Amino acid sequence: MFKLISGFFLGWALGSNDAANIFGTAVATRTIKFWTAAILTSVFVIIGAVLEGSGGIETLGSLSSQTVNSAFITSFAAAITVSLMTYLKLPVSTSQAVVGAIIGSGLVRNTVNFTPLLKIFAAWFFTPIGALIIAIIFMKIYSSYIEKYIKNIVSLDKMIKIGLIIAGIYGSYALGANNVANVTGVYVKTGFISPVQGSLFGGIAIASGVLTYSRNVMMTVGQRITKLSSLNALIAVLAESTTVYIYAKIGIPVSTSQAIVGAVIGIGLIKGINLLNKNTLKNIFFGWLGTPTIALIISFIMTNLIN
Amino acid sequence: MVGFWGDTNKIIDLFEEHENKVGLCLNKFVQTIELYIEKGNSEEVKKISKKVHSLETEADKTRRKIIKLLIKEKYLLPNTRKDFLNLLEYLDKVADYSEAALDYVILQNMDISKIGKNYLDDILSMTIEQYKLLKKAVKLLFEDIDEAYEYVAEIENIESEIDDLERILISRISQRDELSYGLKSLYRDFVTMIANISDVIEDAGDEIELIIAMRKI
Repeated sequence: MFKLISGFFLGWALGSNDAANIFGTAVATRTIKFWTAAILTSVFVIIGAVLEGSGGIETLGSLSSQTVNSAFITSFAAAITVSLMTYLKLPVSTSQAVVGAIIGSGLVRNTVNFTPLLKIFAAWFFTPIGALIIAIIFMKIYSSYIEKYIKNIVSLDKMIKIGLIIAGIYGSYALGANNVANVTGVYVKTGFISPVQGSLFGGIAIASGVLTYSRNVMMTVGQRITKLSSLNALIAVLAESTTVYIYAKIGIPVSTSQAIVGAVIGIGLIKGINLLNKNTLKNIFFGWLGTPTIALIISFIMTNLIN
Repeated sequence: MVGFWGDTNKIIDLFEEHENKVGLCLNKFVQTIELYIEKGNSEEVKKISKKVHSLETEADKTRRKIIKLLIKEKYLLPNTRKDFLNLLEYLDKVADYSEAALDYVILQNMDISKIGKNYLDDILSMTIEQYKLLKKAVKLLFEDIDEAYEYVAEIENIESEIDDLERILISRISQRDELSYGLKSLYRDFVTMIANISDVIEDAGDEIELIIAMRKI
């Protein structure tokens, strides 16, 4: 079981960072209490991981063969990358770190299968774009069909409040289904644990991060998102969750952070505000190239050292 | 309607109660000023002016009830609570400013009959009309926010008209050679204080506009 500890570490880091993209808005605006959000996230991350996490596990597994040792090193390298970048306050995506780490370790062992990479890169590229488009569609649906039925402030507030909780639950489920592969995909590939065990263990690892260390990130990210109105923030979270869920169905782990950025930009476009500045683009590109490269290098060095 | 969310109508009822008290305070203020112009600082005026003070105090009490309720009830989003508190402050200032303008005249025992009765009457009656529109706009926040927009536009128009009257009146006061510099200054301040009531009604209208805008896609 000790070999699984780096996977747990990675899951913990993922949970502490990514819960903010789901319930950050609701917690930062004090719509719901942190502990309610943390418990809901934890429960639905585990359910999502167990029920629909297998697709991503398969995709990541197809990138390279694994031994228990290589799985340990891969997860550890990805976890170090995520922690290091969080510490340096650089944009970070666990999905991209894990792919980089798998390739780094695979290069040393000469086991990398480059074929699925194209599909994975395409998914990364289309995550913010997809979320942007989905956010625009949701905005249009709301303004054309829903807005005319909700005319008073009290009803609108109730709808937003319930909506933020439902979107949060949906997002948590999607996060578990999509991202559990990052945590235990490499271990499942070794046969050391079964897909169901991997999903359950990964879900619990993510939940541990949510419960123990996500409060501050939730407040920071949530306050950034809620520079939009509560209604727009709700649409952003729904668009993000839908995007991540679509990729869970396709079976490719993607970044919730990039999905929420895409959704917020889409809302900005509809409202006539250009939120796509140089810094945002730099962060997205860094997520696509910088994160996997750093993870690849760390994993490559660690695998070489252990070998 | 008491249900899962608690009594959601209570906030609406309390807002209405507060608006009514502020409205009564404003009406009583106008009545007192009219009587003051006619009869000066008489006992009758002093008696009615006490009613203005008591209505202002009652409005304050209702305002505190609303604040307590906003803190207690959870069905409103924190942003909405903040917006409602801002709106409440503006509404309450209508009573505060009325009371302050009345005190200004009575405590200094000013003779305001020479200011220009017609202009004053116009400003005061337009302010009352403007406040009625504000009441409707607040009510519509709880019924149909799109319709509330139209009232806000009308509130702004009236404020602009009152501003014009204020400028004309101040300019006329300044040109009157028979008035001492001190009296001109007192008159000008009084006219500004009366026009400020209309400004704060417009501020409340702006707040309503902001509340609606932030809830639109």
